[in-house]
Amino acid sequence: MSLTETTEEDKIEVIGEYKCVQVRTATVIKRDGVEISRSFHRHIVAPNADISDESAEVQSICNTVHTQAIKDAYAAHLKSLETP
Amino acid sequence: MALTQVIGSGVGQVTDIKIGGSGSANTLDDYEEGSWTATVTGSGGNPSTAATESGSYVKIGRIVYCTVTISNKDTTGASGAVRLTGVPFTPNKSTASGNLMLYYAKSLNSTTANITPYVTASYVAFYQTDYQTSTAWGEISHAAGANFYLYTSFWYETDS
Repeated sequence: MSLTETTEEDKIEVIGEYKCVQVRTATVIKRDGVEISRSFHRHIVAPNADISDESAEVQSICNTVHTQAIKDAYAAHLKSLETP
Repeated sequence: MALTQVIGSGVGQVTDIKIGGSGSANTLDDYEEGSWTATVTGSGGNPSTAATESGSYVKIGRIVYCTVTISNKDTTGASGAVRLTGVPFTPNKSTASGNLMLYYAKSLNSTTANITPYVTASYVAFYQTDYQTSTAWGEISHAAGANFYLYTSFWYETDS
């Protein structure tokens, strides 16, 4: 019997007006090649985020959708949220 | 209440479950549970050493319910308002919801009546309301140092 554990970004979504990139990372455990467990961890990459630690695929998507216009709009949006 | 419709069949094929009616308001189209990483930040500066903790979430339809227990962190270097980043789904609007429990390393007003998590597009803040004046509300502040404890749960809506 062999157990293996792998992680994969199994869902990457671009969400909303400010093109936030939502990443779901799945941890998959297999016994003899048959999946017996799949758990999820999520994080969001906002237009103002440091993407240097992201995967190449996520970086590529961010570089495409996070244009300067989007970054500027998001920054203005955040400023408007400073107080409720 | 009754299950009125299941759209699709078989594992991985069901996309919608309609409960108590057939409209979009009766549709459960997503369920997921998992983990997220909460990072303690400050509006004026972040801790010198990253203070992070794994939390859990459950997403039911458009509602995301998050919990995290941050224990015994050192926030030396942090300044300004106490905030958390890292929520698992993009909020579709700012929401005041949930509750929290605090220990050292935060500054509260002496007349604070309650504190509420406030989920925004980029962070979770914690707003205190003053019981002595009707105009005072603001975020709780860092008193940076060791023994930072913050237990919280909150919910918000997402379009994803």
